Amino acid sequence: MTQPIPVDPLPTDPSGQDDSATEPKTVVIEIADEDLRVLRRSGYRLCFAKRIQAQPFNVVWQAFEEFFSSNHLSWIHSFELFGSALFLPYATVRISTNVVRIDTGEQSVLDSDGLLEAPSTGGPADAVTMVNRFGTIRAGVSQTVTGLQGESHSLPIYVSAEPVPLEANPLVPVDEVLVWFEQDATTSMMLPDRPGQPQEMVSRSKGTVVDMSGSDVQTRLYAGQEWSTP
Amino acid sequence: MADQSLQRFQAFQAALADVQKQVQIEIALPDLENLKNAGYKLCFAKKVGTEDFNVVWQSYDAYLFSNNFSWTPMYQLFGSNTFQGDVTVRVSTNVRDIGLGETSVLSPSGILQPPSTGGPETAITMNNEYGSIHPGVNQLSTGIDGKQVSTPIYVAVNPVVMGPTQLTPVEKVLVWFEQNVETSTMFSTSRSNPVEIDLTATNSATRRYEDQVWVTP
Repeated sequence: MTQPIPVDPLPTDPSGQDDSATEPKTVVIEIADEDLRVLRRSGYRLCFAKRIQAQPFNVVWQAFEEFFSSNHLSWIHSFELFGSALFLPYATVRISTNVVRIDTGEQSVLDSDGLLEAPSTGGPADAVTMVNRFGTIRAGVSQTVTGLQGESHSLPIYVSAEPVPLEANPLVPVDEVLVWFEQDATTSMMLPDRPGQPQEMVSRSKGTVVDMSGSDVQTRLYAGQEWSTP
Repeated sequence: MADQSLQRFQAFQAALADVQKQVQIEIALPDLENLKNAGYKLCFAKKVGTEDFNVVWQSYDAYLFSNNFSWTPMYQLFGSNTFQGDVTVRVSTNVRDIGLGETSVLSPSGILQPPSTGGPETAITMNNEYGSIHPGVNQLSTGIDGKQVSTPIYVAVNPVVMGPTQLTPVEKVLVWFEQNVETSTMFSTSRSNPVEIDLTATNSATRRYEDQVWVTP
């Protein structure tokens, strides 16, 4: 990742058929006073990750050095597809190809020149699909997120740890977020899906997975170094 | 049986010898005279991860013209309730022998459990189920006096919360001279005129202190 990508205003859905496609989802993270003190003083960052179906959480969607007693993170149903030449735990996601805006139920062909073509309807309705006609490439997905201080960016949620095959590769974004605190974690940092070889001290709090599929807002409380639903 | 254990012991010793790292510190005679007269000690520290050196691993009065200091990858894990500069490390929990690629659970009662395989191969992992604690690591060294001791190389400056912490010892040592400093003293400011020696890619290195400057002979 270099610069966050500015996003267009929310698309409107006049039909009103599919609320999940337009309503932002919000997770509210509340932190008890004593916990906030310990976390801030020990250099922890508030981290979020989002999942692709049947895949581990493997990218830090956003990490915040500045966080507070109450923190709101929101996201909308807005995706981008990219290809990456690299998966390396603790490194920053490397977007190797061009980036295309894509919706679920659409597919984009990565052609033999390594360029993603404009998306067209195709693939499963709940997936963004990369049709790999290029060769060795990892598939990556970004989603639009609005951070603690109200800024919206499209940021990577996933990069496949292995190159994807030369076929249609559907990636189904799931409305589940992982929330945790980690020292020195950064936005777009890749996470090991098996024991890695970190070259620094990594300290991580307990995490909590928040399933947002059935609701638009969920709150979790971190108190006494444990997670609960208030 | 006795033969077998002896063989095992010898194999173990041989394996350790393979991974032993050593530094040879030579001090030019006029410098040695000045350092001794002013009461300086020869000090060593070892790095963990990308953190700053923060504990005096060993300090010696009895250094001479040529001094050999060596260590092996034998570690111990502990927890401390405090990190404070210029005071001696206070080990608050029990101490556990542990190797790279192993994990020890700090139980809700604050007891470090016997380690089991887990975590990155290059790290010592503390899985903290207790609460705020400063993780610390001891490492075995053979001093310039030939004595083998396991003393602290690192204490986390800030406490960690419940969850896993990976501590990755790095083969870099800091060598310097300092007055009035004891083994196991914590520090949070940079040392005066030190030399950092990287033994990642080599098993031994020599540095010479001459005219108050470190050189590689």
